[in-house]
Amino acid sequence: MAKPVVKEGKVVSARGKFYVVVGRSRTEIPAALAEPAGLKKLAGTEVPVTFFGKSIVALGRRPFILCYVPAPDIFKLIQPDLQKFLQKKYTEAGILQG
Amino acid sequence: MSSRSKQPLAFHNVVVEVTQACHHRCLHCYNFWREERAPIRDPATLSRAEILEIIRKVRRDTPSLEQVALSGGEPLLRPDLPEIASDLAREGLNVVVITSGTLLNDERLQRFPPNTVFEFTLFSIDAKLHDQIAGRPGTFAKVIRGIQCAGRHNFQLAMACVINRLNAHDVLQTIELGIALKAQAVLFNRINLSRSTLPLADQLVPSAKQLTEALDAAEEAARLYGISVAVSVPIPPCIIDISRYQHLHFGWCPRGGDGAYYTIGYDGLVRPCNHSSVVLGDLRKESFAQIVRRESTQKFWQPIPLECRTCQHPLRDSCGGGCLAAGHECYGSGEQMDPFIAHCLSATPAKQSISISRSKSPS
Repeated sequence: MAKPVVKEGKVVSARGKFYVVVGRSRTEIPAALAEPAGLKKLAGTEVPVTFFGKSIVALGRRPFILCYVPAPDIFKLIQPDLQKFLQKKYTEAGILQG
Repeated sequence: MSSRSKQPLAFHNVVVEVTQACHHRCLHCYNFWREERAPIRDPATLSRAEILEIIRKVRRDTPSLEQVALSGGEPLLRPDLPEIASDLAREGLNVVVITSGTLLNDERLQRFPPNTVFEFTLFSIDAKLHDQIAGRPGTFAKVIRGIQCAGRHNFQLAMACVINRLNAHDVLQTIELGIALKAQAVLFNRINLSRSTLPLADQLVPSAKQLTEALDAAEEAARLYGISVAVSVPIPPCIIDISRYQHLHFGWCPRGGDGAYYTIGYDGLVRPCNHSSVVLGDLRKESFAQIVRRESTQKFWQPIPLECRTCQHPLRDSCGGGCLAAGHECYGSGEQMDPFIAHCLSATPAKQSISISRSKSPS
């Protein structure tokens, strides 16, 4: 059974279509994966591309192949100002205790 | 022995359900034992020493193992959970405790190793609605207290929200509250049906419109606050145009691949995942590799639902028809489509106040 494989590829555009070039192979990016405006921004850049068999299934970031358990790399430090803003908001709303 | 069977397995995660006992009665609970739970002191329950031995056994066969999720039931009902977590942390493993959060307090938290991750559930910003979904009054206040306490102890926190028909409308605020509670990641888990919740599907499954609105809200939260939101339980792209969401991470069933998380029950029995009731083997008697590599295990992962075989969507191979275990649980075969798909597509937008009764009241 095929498994997802992540490779680095370069996004290129040609005749209104977008492709990822990995080594010598060029694969069209399925329209469902990203809007043209987003792809234009990525053109010329190297991005992580996830292949499942010969199909591209994710572009631009590592897929989270999980369901139920948080992947270790999902955690992000939230900007302290934003967190404090929300703590204040929900403390004032009476939901959090100060 | 073939060369393939000599190679080590390459899994990164396993789940250990340390007990079936739970003091909540969540409306959406998919556990196959939800109506008949083994008590906390059931004689078949793995001891702390047995859990460590079993994880060592698993690791011998899959040296890539990085993370053990301690789940239940409610794992904190086990008084020795902090010590179980410490044993695993000493083995160099990441430990995630999947909990309602209501039983977290200073005394317990001080006994956990400092790098423990707590995944807590927050169903809504509305206390009454949270309690209705959890099936027990007063739960919301206890979750808030418990998670604030864990935050003060500087544990890493992930918030899980099970999205159903009742709470799909207030996702942005719920995630905001999670961030205020110091969550650094969000798991957006749409309800996943099982045999026991299938009769409630019309009342619990959100419509595609509601689900879209909930995803829009999660996208907004990720954009505004920079928090990672994993849409963990698969949402097939025939329901939602997932290309709209640039800030959400969509997950798929790993179908036995390296991302699979085989689940070990309180009694040492191994299942394909937390959602499935199918017993693949007994770790007290067999090796992990024997269980995973046997033909019946490999066969479990193979079926693609009949309706999905002609799908032309580029994500078809990843999607595979949603949750394989849900089709299996509800209809007895993985060739049957995940029931969420049909119910979501046929559901109409809901009224907010729905009363759902359970066959058994909280004990």
